[in-house]
Amino acid sequence: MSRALNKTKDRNKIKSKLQIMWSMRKWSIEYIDWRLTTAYPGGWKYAIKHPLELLNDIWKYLIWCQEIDKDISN
Amino acid sequence: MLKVKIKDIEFKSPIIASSGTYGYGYEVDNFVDLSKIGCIITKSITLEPRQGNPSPRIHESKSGMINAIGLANVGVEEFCKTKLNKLNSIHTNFIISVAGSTMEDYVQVINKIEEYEGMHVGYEINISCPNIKKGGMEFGLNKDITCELTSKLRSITSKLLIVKLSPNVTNIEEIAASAELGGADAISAINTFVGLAIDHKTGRMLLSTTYGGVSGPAIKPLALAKIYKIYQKIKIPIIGIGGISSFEDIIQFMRVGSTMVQIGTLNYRDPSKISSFYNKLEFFLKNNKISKICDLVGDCIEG
Repeated sequence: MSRALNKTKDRNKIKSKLQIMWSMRKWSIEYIDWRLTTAYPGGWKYAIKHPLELLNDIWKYLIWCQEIDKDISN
Repeated sequence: MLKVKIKDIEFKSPIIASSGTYGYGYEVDNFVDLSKIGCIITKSITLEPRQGNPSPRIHESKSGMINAIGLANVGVEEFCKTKLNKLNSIHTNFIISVAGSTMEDYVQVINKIEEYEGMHVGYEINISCPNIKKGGMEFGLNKDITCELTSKLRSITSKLLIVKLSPNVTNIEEIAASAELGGADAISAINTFVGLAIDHKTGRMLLSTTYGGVSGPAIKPLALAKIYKIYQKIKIPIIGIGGISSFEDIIQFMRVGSTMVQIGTLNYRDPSKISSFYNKLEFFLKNNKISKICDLVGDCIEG
């Protein structure tokens, strides 16, 4: 029972991450460039040179978005 | 209904996108409804270009974030040549944020911008910067330096002059009063709180600079208290900042004395979110038979 519940929770978490990523489709290239420049010295060049760091940061960001959404809805 | 005025400048709404959270301003123009945002404040501009601090410089914390970006920006020369024109065509007011390490830096940045035909309505002076001539102490920690810097800048521009205060002081209302004395048109309060993040397993600090600025919903009650204290001390308008994430928060900030509000951390979640507050505020005012949003400023009852 609890395993089934956990699976549903995990599925919902993945679904909400996908929804967050989908909402980013409207972002302009200039805005994405600025976000990378804000996160890293050297901006997108740094991000390309450090792909694992970038992926890890994106993952952490998505989790943060979920947490903030929870805070806001409360 | 939602229009507000600071000095002789009218804003479509009290909602402002905070400095450093909306790019230079024009980057969001094609996917955010800027007609519902009263103003955008640009990233802080310094005399020379800056890459900022080494990575990691942003840490996502519970109910907010800690940043140590370190004023990464293109510098005033490049800003005037490549960014100002694009900003001139956005569909709302914009204010230029200015930072520096000496008083002369601030003066030179503003003088440089004034040489160009910018449509900006004012300057926000970021005084949470280390003053290298005073041993690295922040301008905003000392009332005399705050007053001197403000009056110096007042003498070189007639545009709106807004001083952004650091909350990391014992007596913020004293600093606000000295900015008012120096000739500021408004106060932005508050900037981020000093914070730190550490990995519990490794003991490693999670920001390259160890310390960073905490923002987001976590600081909202602290911000409300600082703003209320300032409101009781000064006459010029206050632009409230600190973890706003809903239209209800905006009303709370106005009730403790803010004429306008800035929204920052929420923009990192979704930059288009803040334009949605416009309709909600309008609906609230109609429902509660409030004719102008500025009637809410300072309208609170002590318990």
